[in-house]
Amino acid sequence: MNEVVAKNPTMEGSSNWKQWLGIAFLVYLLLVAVGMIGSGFKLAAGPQAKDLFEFASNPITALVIGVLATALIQSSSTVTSIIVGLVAGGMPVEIAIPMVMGANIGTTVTNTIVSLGMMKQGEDFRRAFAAATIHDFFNVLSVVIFLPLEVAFGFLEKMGAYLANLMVGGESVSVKGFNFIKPLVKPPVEFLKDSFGSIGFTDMISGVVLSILGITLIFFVITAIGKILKVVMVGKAKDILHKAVGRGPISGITSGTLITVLVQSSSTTTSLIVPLAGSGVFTLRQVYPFTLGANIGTTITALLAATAITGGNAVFALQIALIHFLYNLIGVIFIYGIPFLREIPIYAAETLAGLAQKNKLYVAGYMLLLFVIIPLLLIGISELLF
Amino acid sequence: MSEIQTHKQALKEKIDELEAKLEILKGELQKEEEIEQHKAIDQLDLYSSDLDTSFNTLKEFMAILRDEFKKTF
Repeated sequence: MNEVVAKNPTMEGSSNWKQWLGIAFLVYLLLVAVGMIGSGFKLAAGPQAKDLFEFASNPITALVIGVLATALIQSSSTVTSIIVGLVAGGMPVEIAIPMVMGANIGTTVTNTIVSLGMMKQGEDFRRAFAAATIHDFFNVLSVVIFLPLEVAFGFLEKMGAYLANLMVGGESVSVKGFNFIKPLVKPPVEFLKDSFGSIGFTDMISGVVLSILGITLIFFVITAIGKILKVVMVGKAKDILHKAVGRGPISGITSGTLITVLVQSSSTTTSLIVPLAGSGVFTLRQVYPFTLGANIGTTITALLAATAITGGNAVFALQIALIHFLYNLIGVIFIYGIPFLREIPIYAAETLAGLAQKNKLYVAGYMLLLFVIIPLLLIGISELLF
Repeated sequence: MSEIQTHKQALKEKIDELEAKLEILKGELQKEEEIEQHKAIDQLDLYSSDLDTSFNTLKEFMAILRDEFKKTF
């Protein structure tokens, strides 16, 4: 079947056209889903939304929630879109910031698992595992630097608020009143709300059901978008990579960003590079900037999700989406820009990969440490501090 | 010009010559590496199918981990 399509340009064109239509519909569903979470959460929690998230007011707890949720779902785009929806429903931005930072760490589990596919290949595994874990170490370092700064000064919150206020005109997300998303997204959300009401659901139950449906829908929609885009965009991704070969780190970061925007998944981008590094064709230093680009590119989903939000909290939804973008951009500029900091993830990834090549227990120990032991310890310590 | 100066001059010229050759070799190596990288990128489709095998990978990893645990302890 695929061969027939490949040989017939008309059929290929028609197939592409259908896939693009499918993607457009899925993006629309993503926006509706984010709108559902926002409206549902607002309906269910009302003015108590802030109190509901009191348990996550400790930034370390919020960070760990972001790490674990993303590691379990294996998609930072899904988690950040849900966070945008929750902020639209009344979750405070200061709680959402560490969650978004945690999503960056949680998403790194995917390419680490991909690198395990080469575990019987000795030297190839060492290189692949280093290429996968360099992303982990960079994101952990970024949190270690920026989370305390954020807690102390709130610089990301302020920058996000400034930019969001610049971009939001009036009461809804619109660039100078040019919001065409709102009339498209609002009717299905309102229809569901009214339908639940007519069945006899109370506001609280309607809100909870709407939020759960929204979260489920986001999960399926982002998975489906990722699957289709991976097929549609693989040719484009190749073109971008070809252009980046031999052109240095800035080009690597840019190509990583562009490919992630195209496939809407940082883990797809960072996982693709793992076998390339494993084979030894690309060095760790060459794939490093590409991985960082994935961090920036993945922020497009939350920005897109924020355009679906209407009402008074739209500005906060846009604020958290912008904070996600700024955090990743500043992280790349700051850490990669300072030679001493730039070397830390390289050294850590190479050391760990060397140990992992000798004994796979180091791999299990590392994953347990990053996703279980350290989070639990941090929560325990922070409960004493905050 | 003294004998030492002449000798120094000759050594400098040799170094320059070697450095120029080194640059040429480095350039050639880089070209070879880039050709190899372009070839690997062309085979990206093969890798993308590997990304969906995480469950099998984890199963295999657990088996290896069990063996290494028994060997180590």
